[in-house]
Amino acid sequence: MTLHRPVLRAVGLTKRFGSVVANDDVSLDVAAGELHCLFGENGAGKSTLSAMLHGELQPDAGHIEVDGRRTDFRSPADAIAEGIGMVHQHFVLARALTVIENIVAGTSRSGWRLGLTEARERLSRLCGDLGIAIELDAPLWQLSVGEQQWVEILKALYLDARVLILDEPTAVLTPQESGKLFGMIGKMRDRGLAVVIVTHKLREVLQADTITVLRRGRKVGTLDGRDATVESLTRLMIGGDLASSPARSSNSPGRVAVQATGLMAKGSWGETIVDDVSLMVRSGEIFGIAGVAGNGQKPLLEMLAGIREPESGSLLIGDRQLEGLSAADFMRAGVGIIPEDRYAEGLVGPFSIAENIILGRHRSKDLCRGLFIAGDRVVAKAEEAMRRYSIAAPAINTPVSRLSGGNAQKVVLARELDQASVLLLANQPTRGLDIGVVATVHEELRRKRDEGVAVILVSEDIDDLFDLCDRIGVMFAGRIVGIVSPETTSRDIVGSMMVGRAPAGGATCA
Amino acid sequence: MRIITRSGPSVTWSIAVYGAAAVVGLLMTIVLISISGAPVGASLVALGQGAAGSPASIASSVVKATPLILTGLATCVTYRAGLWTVGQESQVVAGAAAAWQMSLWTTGMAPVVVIVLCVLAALAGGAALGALVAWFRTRFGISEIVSSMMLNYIVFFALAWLISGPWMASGGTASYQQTGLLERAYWLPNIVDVGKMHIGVVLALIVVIWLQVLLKRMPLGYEIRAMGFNATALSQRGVDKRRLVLTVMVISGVIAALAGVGEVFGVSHRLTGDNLSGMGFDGIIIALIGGLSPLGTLVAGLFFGALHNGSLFMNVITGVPTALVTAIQGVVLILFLIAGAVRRYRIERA
Amino acid sequence: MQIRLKWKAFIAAFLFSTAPVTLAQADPPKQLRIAVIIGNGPESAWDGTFLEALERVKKAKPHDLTITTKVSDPLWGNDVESAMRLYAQSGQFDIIWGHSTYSDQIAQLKDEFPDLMFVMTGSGNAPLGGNVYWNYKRVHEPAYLLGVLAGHATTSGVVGSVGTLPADDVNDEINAFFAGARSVNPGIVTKVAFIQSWYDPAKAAEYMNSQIAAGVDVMFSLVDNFSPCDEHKETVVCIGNFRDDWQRSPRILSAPLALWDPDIERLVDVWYDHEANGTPYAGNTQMLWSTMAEGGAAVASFHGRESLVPAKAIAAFEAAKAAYDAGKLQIPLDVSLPVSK
Repeated sequence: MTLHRPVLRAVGLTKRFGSVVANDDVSLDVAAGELHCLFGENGAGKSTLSAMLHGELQPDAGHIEVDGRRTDFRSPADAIAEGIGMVHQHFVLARALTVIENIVAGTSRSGWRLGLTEARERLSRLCGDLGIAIELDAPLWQLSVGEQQWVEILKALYLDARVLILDEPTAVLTPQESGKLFGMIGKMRDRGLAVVIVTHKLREVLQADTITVLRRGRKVGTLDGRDATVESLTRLMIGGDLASSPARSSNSPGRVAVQATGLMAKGSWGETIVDDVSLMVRSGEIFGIAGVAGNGQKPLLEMLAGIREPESGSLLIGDRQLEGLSAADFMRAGVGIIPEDRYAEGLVGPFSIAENIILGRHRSKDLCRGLFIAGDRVVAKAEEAMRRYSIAAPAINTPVSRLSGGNAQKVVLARELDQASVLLLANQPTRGLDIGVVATVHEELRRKRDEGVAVILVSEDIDDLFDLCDRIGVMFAGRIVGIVSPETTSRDIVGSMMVGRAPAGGATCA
Repeated sequence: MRIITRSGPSVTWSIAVYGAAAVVGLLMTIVLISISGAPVGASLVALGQGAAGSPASIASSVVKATPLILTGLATCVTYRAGLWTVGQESQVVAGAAAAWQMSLWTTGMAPVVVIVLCVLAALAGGAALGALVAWFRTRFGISEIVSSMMLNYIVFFALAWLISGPWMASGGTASYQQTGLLERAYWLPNIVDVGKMHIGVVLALIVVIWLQVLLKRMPLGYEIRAMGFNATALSQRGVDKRRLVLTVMVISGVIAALAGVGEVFGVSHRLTGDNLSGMGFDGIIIALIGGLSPLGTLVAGLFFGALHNGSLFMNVITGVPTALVTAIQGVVLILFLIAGAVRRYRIERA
Repeated sequence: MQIRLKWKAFIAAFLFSTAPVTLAQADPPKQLRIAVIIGNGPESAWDGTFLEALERVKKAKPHDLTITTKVSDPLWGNDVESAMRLYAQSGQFDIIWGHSTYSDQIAQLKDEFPDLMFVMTGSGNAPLGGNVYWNYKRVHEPAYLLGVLAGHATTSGVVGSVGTLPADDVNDEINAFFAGARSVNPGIVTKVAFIQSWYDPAKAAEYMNSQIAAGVDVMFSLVDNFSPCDEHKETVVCIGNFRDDWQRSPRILSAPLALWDPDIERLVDVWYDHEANGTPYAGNTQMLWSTMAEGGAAVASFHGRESLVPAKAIAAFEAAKAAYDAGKLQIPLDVSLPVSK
């Protein structure tokens, strides 16, 4: 009975940004003691909805009820006062303060004094209830990302949250940490808390009691978690079926496309960030690099792209020794890179689609005429790219900063796939993208492989790596700690290797 | 009513917004004049006469505008590239000083040879100073703001030493911080025989057109704009950022140096401690008002050249303080920056 | 042409709306109209002392002339030429007095307006002759006498001077001040520095303070700032420059004064002679200035502050001044770059 009493209720919420309707008449009930999942593609309106639920945005129409009372949140503080807590994807914590200070500081209940003694007792109790062990006096910067998330959760619970909203909570976690998080969520649910998670990962959605699926700002369905299947969810989310794609390559890998030996890189403080990495990738092969972000994947790819000069080591790409040469030389050798952060590294935001398509090739003969960039040739190239990758934009002169994440990524794809004739580097190419674009990206990587290009794919998503890769190298603390074949290895083993534990059965060097 | 970001620029709206800024600027100018106690109508007539009332006035305004346009263009090219230098001031002086040294070396040669060599020397002087700032930045990571600001002081004192030491006018006049007068044959020739319409005016116009084409149509201009927006993406796409910084700083040095040589060889005909000061900083304001576009800078430069000459007439004829021009310049700067921001929004009835 | 004439009438109407419109002038002239262009503003000593003198001369009415003046805002460079041209074209002025280094601009105009008398003042000008007169100002004589005073007044044996820019008519007074001090105190140490600007009080204070730190206790300040004198009340005595700034600090004892009255009167005489008697203009090509004996310079009053320095210093000063007045003391002119010794 209690399970079905809605503690939080949204009624006909509508939110517009200019001409864009982010949420259109969305209603949902969140009951105490349930895990409620907001599911949908990127841009489906999940973030807007959760922002309204915790008072960060105010709806243009509709309202929110808490315990059946109509509320009018003007700010997150109003929502917190009603017992609605929020854990953002990017944590809002002070690195220099301790765990307990982060939790207590800024909560008005303490007045001018922090009153840590009383807080300490309550927090210890909370930790015990949730089954987590955390050192309350540790400075925050010493904590792992997963532990920092606990702090955010503790902070919300300390403020007596009855509804806890988590935005993409596993985006930054290892598989083990994700497992632990869901364990905590289970305990909170048992204690009568309502937990709302925003996600686009099917595996997590299936653990929910109730699933609200959003598409293009509208609610397209509410499912009972027990009835939901991957197929039904996918169909709801994208409004159709996805063509299932062939898994791994059937053709055998060709000649060696990349031979890296003893690559070393140092960070800005002189610390070693890539430590003696050697790898060989053949053309027609997808080589995956698994690892928790920050274990050297990014500098490794940068060295392979010629963006970062190795401290030492040699690098053969195609038939050319390239170490010590410039990024332009790497590009001439046929290397393309899809960077981790497309807006920071891959695109010039205020530039148009056309201008971004030619970035790096703006001096090439087939795009220039005499001293000038040939406008007509650029237009032709950009229009072809827009057709080929179905980039949804008003025109080729639309600034890429106005595109959605998926369309912006397609601009990068269009440019880099064209560029990569020998080696394609992709660092988390599907991060933050909706499932439709994810499929496109995966399909293009496979197509590139089939064309005989060597592909190196860095991802934190083990599922993706297992679906796509012929071999997977696992990086930890700057080293490749093992290279495994997805056909003979389990996901759990890769997960343990990612956090520095040697695999139980020993890595099979494929 | 709500304010919404436009999805793209609209020409009519831009004209309306900038037109409104100009009208408000004029109204505020009238208010300032009446506060100063001068007769408003007569002052405005004098302003118009001084700005563009006769061929001589037009010449004066254009000649006044020329160095502002050039230092403005030097600002355009660096600020579009995301290099926030304030070294236009010293680049002007470096250009003028290099040209002066060349004139000392080439005295006695044919005027055409001397003038060409002096202009080339000026370009080299400005380029060297620009390159120095670029080198500090790419080699040592020193912010171009800091290094160019410090170089302004160094160049200022170097000039003070040169004109009170090695280059000080000798004979006929008493010791004073200035060079002697340039021989008449070596003055920059006038393009029309009105006032001091020297050939540097044409050079400035050529630079405006060249820079406009460069930024819009040429690979280098593309790189400059890209670096201003996202230097990381650009360098990861194979463009050598260090070389680009150097190129941009050299271009800016060369353009600013043209202002210096034009002013000394075309207008004042001698190098003094103060006839070049302030041009670089004025250029920054001009470029900002011109929206960092070469054509906009040309318009803003001509506007302020005319405003300057007009306000001189107002001062002489109706007694409006010349300090007013600084106030008007400030008002117009703020109005145009506001207009530039407003241009990006539209108002919609809810 | 129609428009041009109207424009001229328009300028005339506003330039000189206070003066009676003059028709053909009958001999002898009754009025003299002077347009003055200044470089810095009345608050600067150079321009301020001149404008005060000009008012005194107007009151004195030499040749029974009604003198009217119009003073511009501070102008520099090409603007000076434009402004002078406007004044000249209006036909409303008899003398255009450019009170700074304006010979380049006047050179462009002098032949175009041969009936106008042009005046320029100070160093940095090139002699032009004809209808262009070059007036100089030297206050080295009072500076020398105050140097004599300083030579006796210093207890540290170090006197200093902070100058603007090392120009001819700056060097002369600093050299004279040091020469006066050395004449009574051969072992004296002199310190000199230039701020490389005509006006920069902040930098002036820095330079003065560092001289004071180096032991200077009598300071000849040419840089229009006396706050360092106030900050060292116990030790430092200051000498001002060009005008009597005694109210600005209780530590100012005196100053060499610039008096432009004889210069203005002399040039008014020249103009009058030209107008009344048709004597052609013959502008000087050599530097020309009025001496202290002629009234072109003076020592500012001590304003009862003699006790700032030992009595013997006052006595020595009085004696030197008496010798100068009696023609027995020749004060040398030295315009070389002053150096610390």
